[in-house]
Amino acid sequence: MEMTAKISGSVAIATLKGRFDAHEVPAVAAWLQSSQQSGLVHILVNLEGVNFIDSTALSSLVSGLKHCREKGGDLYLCRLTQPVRVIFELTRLDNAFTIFPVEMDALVAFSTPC
Amino acid sequence: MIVPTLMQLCRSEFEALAKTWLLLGAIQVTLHDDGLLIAHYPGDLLAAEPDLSASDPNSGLSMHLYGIKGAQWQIVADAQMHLLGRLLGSEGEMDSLTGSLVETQDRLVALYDLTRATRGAMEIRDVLCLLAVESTRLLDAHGAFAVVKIPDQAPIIHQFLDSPYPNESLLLVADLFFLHPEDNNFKECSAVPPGLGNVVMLILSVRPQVQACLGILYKSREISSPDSKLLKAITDQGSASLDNALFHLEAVESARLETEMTLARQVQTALLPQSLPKIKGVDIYGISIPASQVGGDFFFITSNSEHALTFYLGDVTGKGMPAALLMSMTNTSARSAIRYMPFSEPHILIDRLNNDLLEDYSAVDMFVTIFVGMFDPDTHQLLFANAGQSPVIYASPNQETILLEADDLPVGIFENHHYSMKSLNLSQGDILVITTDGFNETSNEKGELFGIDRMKNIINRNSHRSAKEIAESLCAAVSEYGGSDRQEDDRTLLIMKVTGDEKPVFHQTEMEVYAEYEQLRIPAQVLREVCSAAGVSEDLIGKCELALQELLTNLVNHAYEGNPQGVIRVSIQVTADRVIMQTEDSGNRMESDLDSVEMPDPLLLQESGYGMAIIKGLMDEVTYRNGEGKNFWLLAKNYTKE
Repeated sequence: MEMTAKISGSVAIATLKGRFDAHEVPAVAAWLQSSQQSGLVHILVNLEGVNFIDSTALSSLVSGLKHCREKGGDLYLCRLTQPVRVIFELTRLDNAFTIFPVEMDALVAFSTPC
Repeated sequence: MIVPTLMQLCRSEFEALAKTWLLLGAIQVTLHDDGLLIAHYPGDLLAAEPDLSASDPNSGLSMHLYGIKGAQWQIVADAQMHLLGRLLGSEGEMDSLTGSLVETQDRLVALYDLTRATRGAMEIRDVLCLLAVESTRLLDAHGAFAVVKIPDQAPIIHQFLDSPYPNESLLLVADLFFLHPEDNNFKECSAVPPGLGNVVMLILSVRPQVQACLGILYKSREISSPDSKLLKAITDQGSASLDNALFHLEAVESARLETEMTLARQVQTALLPQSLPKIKGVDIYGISIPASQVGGDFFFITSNSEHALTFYLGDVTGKGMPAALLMSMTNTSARSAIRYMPFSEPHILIDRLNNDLLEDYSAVDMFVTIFVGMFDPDTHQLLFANAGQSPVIYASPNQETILLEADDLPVGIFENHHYSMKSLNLSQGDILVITTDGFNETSNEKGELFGIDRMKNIINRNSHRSAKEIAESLCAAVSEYGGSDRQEDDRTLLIMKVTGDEKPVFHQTEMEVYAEYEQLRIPAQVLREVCSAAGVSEDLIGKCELALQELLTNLVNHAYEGNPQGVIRVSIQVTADRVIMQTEDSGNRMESDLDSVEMPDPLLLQESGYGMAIIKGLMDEVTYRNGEGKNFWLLAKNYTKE
C-alpha cells in the first residue's frame, strides 16, 4: 500500500492507496504516532485509493481517533470507496468517525472553530 | 652394365683419371661397359691394340690404356677400375632408393587425395565409386569393384573395370567372399566368371548387419609389401567413409521418421476429443498421454438425441506407429457407429466394431480392448459393455470401491462374437474410473507395479473432488511413482462422476499459507480470480474477501498467536450459486462461542473484537469444527449470477 503524507496548515494528511490490511497497519500507526508527537492533533486520512480495508486497519484508525481527541483534536476521513463503506456500515463505525466526501470539506471543517 | 644416366656422373671422374695416365706417358685411355666403348680420352680415337687392360667384373666396366706398359701400372689400373665400379654401384643404389621414395610419396599424396575426396562423399554410391577408381589408380590395377549389402535393401554394386561384368557375377564373388573372408582364392571356383578369378578381395568393416567389400583386379600375381600396406590404408579409409555414408543415411531416415511421427501426432491429437460435453448431473473428464509421439489409446465422449451421454475408452495392443494407425481406424469406426446407429446399445456397438475391424486386426495379429458406456442422467442408469478393458473402477459412497470385471473378449479376435451388456444404477457421488493399463502397470525402479489398490486409494481420497481433479491426482501419482524415466506405456483415462442435485463445481482450489499477514494476500487473490471466473459480482467478491481476511487474521492472531510457521490450509469452492471458503489449521481451539458473538458498540471505539462479528454479518453460513487437533472453519455465501 502506498501512503503519501503532507501537512496543510495544522492538519496532517495521509493519502492511502491500495490494500489496507493487517500487514500495512504498523506503517500507518507509526505515521499517526509521529504526527501526534510533532504536536499535530488534526489528522485527515484520505482513503481515495483504498480498495480493501479490514478490521485491524480499522482498529488502527480508531486508535488514532482516540488519541487525537484526547489531545483536543480529531481524526477525519474522506473519500471512502464502496468496499470500504461496507466495513464501516457493518461495524457502524461510520457513526463514530466524521466522514467527508472530499478532502477540502474536511480541511474546511478543521479550520472552522466548533 | 651401367645405366646410361650414370655415365654423365662418371665422365668427369674418367677424364680426371685419363689425364693422370697421359701424364704418365699414355697416349689414349678408353672406357668400356660390358665390352662396349662408352668413353675415350683425348680427342680422336686411335685404332690400335691396347697395351694395358683392366676391368671390374662386378660392374662390367673395363679400361684400355695405349702407350704405356708395366706390371705396376696394371695393378694401378685394376685398382682404379675397382673403385670406379664401386662408385657407380653406389650411385646406382642411391638412384634406385630415390626412385622408390618418390614413388612412395606419390602414393601417399594419392591416398591423401582419396581421403579428402571420400570425406566429402555422403552418398554410398559416391564412396564406392571413389574407392574403385582411386584404388585402381593407386595400385595400378586393371580395375576394381565394390559391393555393399544392407539388410532389407537391394545390394549396391559399383564397378570400375575395362570390360564390364554383369552385376550378378560381381555379387556372386562378393557373396562367396563374405562366406569365407579368410579364403581369397576364387580361381578354383567354377561358378566364378573367367577373369574374376584373379581378383583380390578386401573386407570393408562397417556397422554390424551391413556387409561390404572391395574387389581389385590386380595386374601381377604377387602383392608387394608396399602395396599390401597401401591396400590396408585403402580399406581402412574405405571402411570409415562407407560407415559415414551409412550413418548419414540412417540420420536422414530417422529425421524423416521423426517428421512423420510429429505429423501423425498432430493428426491423432486432432482426432481425440477437443472439448468435453457438459451434461447435467454428470461431471465427466478424459485425458490421453501417449508414451511416445503417437499411441494406441483412445477415448471419446459424446451426447446425441437418443443417449444423453455415450463414452468409450480403448487400447490397441502395442505402441508406436502400428498401434496408432489401428487406433485411428478404430476410433473413426466407433464414432461413425455411434453417429449412424443412435439407438444402439453398448454391446451392439462393440459387435459392429468387431465385424468392421476383424480383418484388419487379424491381418497384423493385434487386437483392441474397449469399454463402451451409455448413461442416462434422468434414470441414473448406466448401460455398458466391456471388451476386455481393464481396469474399470467403481466407487460409491458408503460401499467398497471395486474393480468391474472385464470378462468379454477384446475386439478383433473372433468373428461373429456377440458381446454382452450389463447395467448399473448409479447414484449421487458415484464415480466410474476407466483407464488403460499404463497406470496400474507402471513400475518403479525396483520393478514393483503401481497396481490397482493404489489407484483405488487415490480415488477414495479424492472422491469429493471433481472428475478432472481426481484425474490429475491419478496422473501425478503414477508419474511420480514411475520416476523421471521415460513413460513406458500410453496412459489414458476417463472419469465419470454422478453429481446428481449437486450443482456442477466451477472451481475448487486448495492452498497452504503460513500464518503471516503478508501470506494472507494469496488466498484473497485466488478467491478473486475464482469468483470472477464464475461470474460472481464484485460486491459479493468484496464481502467474501473481507470475511476470509477476518477469519485468517483471527487464525494468525489467536490460533497460531503470531507464530509464522503455523500452516493454514485454505480451500475455495465456487458453485453455481454459492461461494464456500474453508480453512484448516492445527493451532489453538477457539474458545469463544460463535453464537454469542456480537458487533461491538461503535461509540465505545474498541480497537478489537470486530472480526468475528464482521464474518457473521457478511456470510450466510459460518461453522466451526474441531477434531484430531485441527480446527475447521467453513464460510459460505449464496449468490446469484449477474
